[in-house]
Amino acid sequence: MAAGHSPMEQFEVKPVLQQEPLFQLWGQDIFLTNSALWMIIVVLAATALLTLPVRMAGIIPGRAQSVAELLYEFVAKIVTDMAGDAGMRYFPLIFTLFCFVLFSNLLGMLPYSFTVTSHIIVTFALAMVVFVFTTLLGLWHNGLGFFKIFLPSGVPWWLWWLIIPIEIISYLSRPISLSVRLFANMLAGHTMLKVFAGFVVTFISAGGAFSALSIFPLLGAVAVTALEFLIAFLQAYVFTVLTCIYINDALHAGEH
Amino acid sequence: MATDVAPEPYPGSPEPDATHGTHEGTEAHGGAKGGGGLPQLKPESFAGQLFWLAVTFALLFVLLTTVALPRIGAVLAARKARIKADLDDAAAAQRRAEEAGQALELAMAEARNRARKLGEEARERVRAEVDATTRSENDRLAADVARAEARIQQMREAALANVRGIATETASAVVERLSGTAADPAVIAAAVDGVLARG
Repeated sequence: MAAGHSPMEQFEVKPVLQQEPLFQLWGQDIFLTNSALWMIIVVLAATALLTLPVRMAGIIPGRAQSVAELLYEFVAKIVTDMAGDAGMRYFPLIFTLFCFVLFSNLLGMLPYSFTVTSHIIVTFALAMVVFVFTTLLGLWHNGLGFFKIFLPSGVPWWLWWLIIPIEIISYLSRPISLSVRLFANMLAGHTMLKVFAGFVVTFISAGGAFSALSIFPLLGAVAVTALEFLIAFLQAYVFTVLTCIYINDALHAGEH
Repeated sequence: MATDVAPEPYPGSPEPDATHGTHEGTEAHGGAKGGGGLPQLKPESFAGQLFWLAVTFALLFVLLTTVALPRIGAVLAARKARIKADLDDAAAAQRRAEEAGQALELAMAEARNRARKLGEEARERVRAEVDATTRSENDRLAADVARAEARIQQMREAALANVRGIATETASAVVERLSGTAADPAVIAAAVDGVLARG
């Protein structure tokens, strides 16, 4: 097979700029990889967009400032809708999660870039941040009453043996569903893009009538690109909404 | 899977290899050529990704919490306050306008009342004047009429007095002509008076 034309090649984590590890941490070599580079770019881009155009004098915001304010109010609305005013205390963490996922997804749409969130280890780590945070929050808020979350109110006692294990399993699978959803969406979308684009090249190089047919995978690639932008935003939104729902559960577990 | 394409083991793979660190870069480079499996499922990249994720996520959290969010929050709060102040100003202005409108209406009503009163007064005055003039003219005319009537009475009386003389004379002349003798003026006068009194 042609090396580098695999649709999966774009997901390879490999060192950039230099091939030597930067340093060792707990016996692990730490390289500056493409993944690391794009994480840094995500942080810089998000911070730049959310900081530089925002001026105190901007009673009438410019375009970039409008975008920053829009993101802020968008997430703030999700938090208050899903977790109430009590949830707004955790707004900075939620907003950071949203920005990290959103900017990772969107910057991953750039050609030759690397999609940080297309790696299950990254999305799983983010999901675990949410899981551990909401679990600790629930315990801190409700004490042992937090475990009432495993027993929805109104369940007759003779169903407890069934409901409680189901609830526990569903609770424990939260980080898995949260991370796999994001990872799989990014993986599938980018793979599909690459496959369509690969078809274009294959058809053209096949020559003759096949060259003319290459318009179809090209149109497909264009359509998938548009769809991917939607999904990039949607998945960041879904991740944030679920985080807020989990926080709401943690805050109100005792009232179940 | 890794070992069949890679001459050297990945870090984290079972074989201990002192040199694996320096070779991992080239190794990962060639990973795609292996063509097998998802890069996402190669555990040798996990440690690095987790490290960089922890660093960058913490950095983003700190940057957003300390710089970006307070700034945006302050701008939004300032705008909210500004909009509220402007709305309050507008409401106050509207209230003032309404008050002014009410005052205007009041003044208009008052002015209308006064105008009506003035008009009525003027009408009354004119009517009184007209009445007075009419009365005086009527009086004057009545006096004229009375005077004229008096004169007519006088003239009538005078005329009546003349009628007696003419009748007497005519009767004398008629009697004298018929009888050939001059009639007794006293009898004539009595006869004329009798006729006049009857007529």
